[in-house]
Amino acid sequence: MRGVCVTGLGLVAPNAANVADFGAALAAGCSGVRAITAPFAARLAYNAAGVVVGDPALVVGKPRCAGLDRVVILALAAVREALDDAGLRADPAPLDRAAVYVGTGMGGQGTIEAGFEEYQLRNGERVNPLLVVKGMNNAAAANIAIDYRCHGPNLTFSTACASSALAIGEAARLVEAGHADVAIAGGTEALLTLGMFKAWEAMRTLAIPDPADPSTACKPFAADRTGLVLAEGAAFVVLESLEHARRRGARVHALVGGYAARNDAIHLTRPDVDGQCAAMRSALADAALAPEQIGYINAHGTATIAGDVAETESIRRVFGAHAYRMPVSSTKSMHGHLIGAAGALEFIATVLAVRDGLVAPTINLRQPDPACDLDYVPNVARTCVRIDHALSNSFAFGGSNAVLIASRAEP
Amino acid sequence: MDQELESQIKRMIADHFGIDAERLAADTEVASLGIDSLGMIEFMFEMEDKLKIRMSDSRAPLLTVSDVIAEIDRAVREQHPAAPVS
Repeated sequence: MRGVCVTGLGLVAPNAANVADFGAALAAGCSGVRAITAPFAARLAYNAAGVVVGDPALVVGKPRCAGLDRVVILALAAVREALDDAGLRADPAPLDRAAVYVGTGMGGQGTIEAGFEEYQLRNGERVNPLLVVKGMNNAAAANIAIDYRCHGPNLTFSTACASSALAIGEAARLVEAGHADVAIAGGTEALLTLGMFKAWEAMRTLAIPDPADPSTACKPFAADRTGLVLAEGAAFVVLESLEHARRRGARVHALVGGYAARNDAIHLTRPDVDGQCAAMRSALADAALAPEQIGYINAHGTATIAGDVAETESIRRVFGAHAYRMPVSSTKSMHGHLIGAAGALEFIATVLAVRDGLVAPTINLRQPDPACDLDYVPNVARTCVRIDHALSNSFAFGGSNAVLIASRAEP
Repeated sequence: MDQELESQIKRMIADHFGIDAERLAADTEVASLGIDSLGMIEFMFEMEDKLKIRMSDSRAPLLTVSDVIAEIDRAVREQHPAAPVS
């Protein structure tokens, strides 16, 4: 990957309402996971989730939020910050031909469930007339384009946990190939509904929280991990060609150093070491980097029993002895699994690693698992670490593996 | 271990997955029978409904036929100590 840079960052997350707060939260090992207090909470077997802090509707403006599913509201809040950060709200001319690439796992799930309640449970004769346009998976991408007059390609990626990593990677490819000077790319997810909780509960893969302290529920790589924690949120980056960024004097956070998209092609849910290794090797090749040049890995690290072991083995195979010299952390320990938005939020954490030297911790790692023996940066962040290249993994249901590499802007 | 319960569970595994019951030795790994973890969870849900039991919260995977039988047997004994399995 050559000549693609990141000029804007924006997010709303369970442990932070914006990028500056996110960096501070990672540095402090701050968890945004908690018990939810929705009316249906009593029906949940495992009540722990990453709920977005604050009210993003206030950022977007209440009038604009009418007729929008929460998944779109979160996206608009994050995109607003990213475009402000890139100086493109003040000077929007470059957005005229911008591409908008959005990843989401479940799209307008809240709207769809509300509609179901109306026609199925209350036998309503009609549903909200906005159900289609609120609930459709491309609603976030469409509303972003409308708000910022982006006439470029408008794509929505739905590949489960790799959705937004793929959105960012494909947008970077588009810019690299010269098909767009600017791309708004990222992901959004708002799936903390009763239906989604029950569906994930049934797979027996959700974490069992300690009722006394649900914030500790997500324990990647720990011997006492019990599964993943669902979360909502949105994260977006502005990608630009280096030439375009320099011409308009934009501040460059990092370069998109490399990207790979692969599929295990073997099983719908089981992690595949061979597939993960192929994806990481492919991203390194795309970046023209040797494994030893990676200074930090933001792991997929969902805290499932099988997933963490598989990813540890994959990292060992690809990085060899260097795997033990390089910090590897799962920020999901702090923000939970944002599913379709996970890749984008974790890419931002990866950008902060190369830009600020911030190595986020894996919190809740009190009992090491002998099968997971890498340096997972247990519990305490490291700062002022010189990292030239950092890698972010997203390994999804359906077998999609997306790997992104962020590189320091200045050599 | 109740022999009758054990044979009954093996019959139910065989019926649910369309497998020959002869292949279900105690140490047979369920993966070798082409059963993945989600398929096993679905089977255990059916056992919960049929036998009126609830599985434990344990995240330890059920790897062998004897693991499956032991988990069902445990639940039946804890939750219906006197009732015969029908």
